[in-house]
Amino acid sequence: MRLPRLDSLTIRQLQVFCTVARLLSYTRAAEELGCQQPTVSALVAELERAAQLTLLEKRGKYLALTDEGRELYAHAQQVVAAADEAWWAMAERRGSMTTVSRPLRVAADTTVGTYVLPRLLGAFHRRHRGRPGHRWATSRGRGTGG
Amino acid sequence: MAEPFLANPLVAVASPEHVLVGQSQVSLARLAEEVFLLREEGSGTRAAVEEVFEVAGIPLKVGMVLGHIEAIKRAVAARLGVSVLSALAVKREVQYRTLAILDVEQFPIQRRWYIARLAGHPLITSADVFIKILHEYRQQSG
Repeated sequence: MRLPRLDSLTIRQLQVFCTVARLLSYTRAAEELGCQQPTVSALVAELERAAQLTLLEKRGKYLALTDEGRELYAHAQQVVAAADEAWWAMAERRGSMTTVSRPLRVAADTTVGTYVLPRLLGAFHRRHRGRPGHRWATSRGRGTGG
Repeated sequence: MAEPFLANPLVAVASPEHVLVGQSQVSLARLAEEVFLLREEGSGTRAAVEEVFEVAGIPLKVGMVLGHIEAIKRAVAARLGVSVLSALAVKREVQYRTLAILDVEQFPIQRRWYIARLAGHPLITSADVFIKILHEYRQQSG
């Protein structure tokens, strides 16, 4: 058996995997990523082949993370966040931050999201030239891009 | 990494015409005779309410489960039941007298919100600015 190699892992695979793991749906992940659902499934399958582990499984009607998948998800989130940081740091070096602003991500419970955050995001918007790309997470754990 | 943000007192609310309005230190048992309108399972507010009544060993009558705070407020105003909501969420309704806060023992339930961010993660400039705004707001709100 050929051993899987680290260089067979791509950040894109991890990013797609994180999205699927968060939404627990290939269809919704594809929507959020702006690609086709078969592309998403294929990338996750590739990752599973490389890891030689089952990461996601169908439980009845629902998609769920396996224990292995949950462990990878924790690591993958860090890798993706670090890659994101690196990317934006380079963009800052290029001085292109005036045209592309780095998104601010905020998650809050429903009450804070409805009664506190709007005015604070307004203050942020006025003070910071960046455009807040905020993300609401309700107590149901769903999020919608803003 | 988490630090305290604002206090989040949860208050019992009813329509201003409700019989319990104006009464002082209503018992939990008396309040539990009313029908409760609550958010769905998984809501932090709901969990806090259930905990208070569970500890007291008093069962709750949940009349309706509504997914939005606005829906709960309107249903309470329409006298479909009582509810427990963040004081912040009912400020305006109380001011305009479409809802009233009940004086109930063990209420308000004292909860707090926290500012959380990833530990050991370099803060991006915009997040820095935003957290500064949160600190200023916390200071103003006392």
